[in-house]
Amino acid sequence: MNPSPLAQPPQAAPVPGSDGVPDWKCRKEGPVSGRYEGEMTAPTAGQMLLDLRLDIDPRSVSSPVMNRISGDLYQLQRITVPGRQLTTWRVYRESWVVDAPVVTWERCLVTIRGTVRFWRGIHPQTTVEVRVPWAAANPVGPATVTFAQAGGMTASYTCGKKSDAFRELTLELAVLKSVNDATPFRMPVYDTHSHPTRPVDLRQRTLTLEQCYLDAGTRVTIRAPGPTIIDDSAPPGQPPHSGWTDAQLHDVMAKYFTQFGSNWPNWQMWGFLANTYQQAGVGGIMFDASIIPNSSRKPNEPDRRGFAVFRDHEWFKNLPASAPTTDAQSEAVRKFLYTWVHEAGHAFNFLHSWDKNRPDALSWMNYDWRYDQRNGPNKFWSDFRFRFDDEELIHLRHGDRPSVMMGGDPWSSGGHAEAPAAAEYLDTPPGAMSAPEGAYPLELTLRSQGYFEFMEPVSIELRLRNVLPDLPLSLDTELDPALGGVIIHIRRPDGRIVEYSPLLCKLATTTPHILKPAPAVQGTQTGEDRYSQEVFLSYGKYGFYFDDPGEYLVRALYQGAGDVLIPSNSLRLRVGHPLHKDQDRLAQDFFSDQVGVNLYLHGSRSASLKTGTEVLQKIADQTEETALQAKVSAVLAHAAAQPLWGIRSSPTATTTSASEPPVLTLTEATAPDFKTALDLSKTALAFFKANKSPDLNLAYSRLVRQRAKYHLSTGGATQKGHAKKELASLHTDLAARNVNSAVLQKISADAQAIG
Amino acid sequence: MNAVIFDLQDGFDDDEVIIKIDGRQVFHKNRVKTDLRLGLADTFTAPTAGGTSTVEVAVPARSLSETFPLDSADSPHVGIAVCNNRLEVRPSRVAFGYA
Repeated sequence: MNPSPLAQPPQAAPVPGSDGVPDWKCRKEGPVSGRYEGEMTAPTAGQMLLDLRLDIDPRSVSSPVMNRISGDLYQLQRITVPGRQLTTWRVYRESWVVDAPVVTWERCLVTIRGTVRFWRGIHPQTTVEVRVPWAAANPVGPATVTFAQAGGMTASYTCGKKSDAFRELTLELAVLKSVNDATPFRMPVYDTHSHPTRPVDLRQRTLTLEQCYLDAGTRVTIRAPGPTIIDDSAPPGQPPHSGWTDAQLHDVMAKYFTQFGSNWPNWQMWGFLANTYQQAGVGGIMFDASIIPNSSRKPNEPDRRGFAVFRDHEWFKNLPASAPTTDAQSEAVRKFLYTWVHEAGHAFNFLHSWDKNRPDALSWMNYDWRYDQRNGPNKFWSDFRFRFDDEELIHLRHGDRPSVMMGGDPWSSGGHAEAPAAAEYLDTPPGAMSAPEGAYPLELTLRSQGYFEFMEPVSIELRLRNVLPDLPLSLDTELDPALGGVIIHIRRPDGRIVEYSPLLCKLATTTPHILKPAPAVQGTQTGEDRYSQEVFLSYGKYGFYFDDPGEYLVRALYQGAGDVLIPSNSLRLRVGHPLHKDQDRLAQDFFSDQVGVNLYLHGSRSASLKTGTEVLQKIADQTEETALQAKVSAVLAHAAAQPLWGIRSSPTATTTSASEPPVLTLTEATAPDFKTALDLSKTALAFFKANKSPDLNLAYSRLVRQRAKYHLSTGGATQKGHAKKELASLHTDLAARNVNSAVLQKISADAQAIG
Repeated sequence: MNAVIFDLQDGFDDDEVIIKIDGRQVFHKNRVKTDLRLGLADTFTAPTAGGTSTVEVAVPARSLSETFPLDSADSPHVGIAVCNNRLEVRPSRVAFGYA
């Protein structure tokens, strides 16, 4: 056997008891181990769903027990409309594992207890008890699961057994026509006794990719009807394309993988049999990884969805068309199977064995020649038992869901070491990794410019869209985090994930907004199915959130009035470095509460924020035209156009007593200065007009509307004309940027309303 | 003319690498970086005169260097890796494969 220090044998079989129940009534039909699923029963029935994995007894003789239990928690969502089919969806929240469960076997019941370790976030100490009963002629279960938090809170679930496997995924296959023409496509099928170099006591059986992964705990289903044949016919006289690059492989996946446009992460994978890779020594590659520069990948694309195997590699030259008849053919089939399993393993987020400090692991993820260099010629295949090592099995079966699932965490981030030592500071707020599954009715999209200058205020657009084909939705569309309907998570360049905390918390009645169904039906105009709002995120309760140069990921959770939960896409943005030494020096003054509060309030003329205003004025006065300067100018303009109110204290007229409280009067201390506001916002207007990025449309639109108000407030027909002219120019610019008709109509209406 | 195929394997991280055979520089590249998906950073073929040659490998920024004799007939493939802050040389009769 492969050394397996982590695997625990199952407890001894139960002995007949004195409870009067005949032994035959306690005969167990199959293993307890496997996947269970069920809804919360208490404290709120149906609010959550638990996907539970029990790994405490053998599922088969080829599948080692890892003695773990783990699970994924989902929030359940439903929309019920009389006369219509129930719309349900679930939103993934977080995963947990019990590393050392205490398992107590009884005659008709097993009880599993242990301390829960959540992969992310900070939780009160939590224990779990799982009770699984069985009876003859019945499936095992259902499992009754009770979580108990320190402090007394409990939550219970009832979960029926769904599968003997812990996870399930679909693999879609594709093959180049030229490869298929040379030898018809056939997935590897290997008889473990067909080659003499093997462990002496290795059991004879037939291995396929599906069987190898089932042994590991994952049921892989090959998508019907079979591989997609990709036509690579070359012009007459020319050979088909070979020497594939990562970018080319990615392009082919984007074109032919039927699930490519689905929601990721997802239990979907794409395997492609091509001819050769750009480096001839490469027999297979998991090409879908953002750490490798690849021009065909979009910035926010997920990792680990596809891999390729190269049929013309030296390893496979002896592959037979049917069952092997020579050792050389068996070796080729064995290597072919190894390569398919190995590359799919990378898509499950496995690194190579030596990169996990286990160079002597007898695993699908090691190289035979590397193992042999350390242990002797032919030692790998003499000892290898066609399995992943224990740590890998634990990752595959019980790892943090985003770290395992295709399209989840980036490749090599975590792998099977989701909680590396001394990484406590990387705690993720619960919900930061949420992902919806099922027919969810709403889409929340985050958009912004991809690049922000150093110190440039960061605002992003949140867009809600009704994706139901035939049902209008009435929603609270206030997307400002200060009102509590939206939670925003920011992953900083150092990997730390923080939750944005607004400076102010506002309590307000909800303002329902009706989003019409998708525009393809019922005459909905483009834009009426969606609502956008720009949200300022630079500064909040805990200071500046984008104060370091580098890459940030932003994700939001929309919870509306508390009745839905919709996660957004992950928005990737980059904050640049200081352009020069003076700007770096200015950062010392800029990243202060004085400036932060000023920006948060969109400008202020309060004497108590004077220092911050002076810093902003210094930036606005710079001759260099930058996004920072434009946005800061707009903030100062907004401040200039606001009246400043003050409280004046004076003795009352009717009393002379010093003990009487003075009368407090709210008075306008400073009147709005629209002319200054117009002057200050001129550079911002020029900047937004010149920069045609759709990500700046909202800011541009907001500025022009502000300026229209300033013009109108200064009075006079000329100013009216200026306001109309700027709105007309905005309309022209946004129409050229393909902004939807509802927005354009609103601008036209605003211009007409001026008269 | 004989030839040796050099594979720069694991442990390289944006390194400058210089390789000489019998004092003649056959490889000099900056920013050599291992692709973790393969355990391979770069590969190149160098002609040799045949018989036993002396190969010198240097990673100057890390003050790493290794000199070793190489018979290209016996070992037409050589893997070089950085392991535990030293250079590891892996001569081989057969080509290395990566996946």
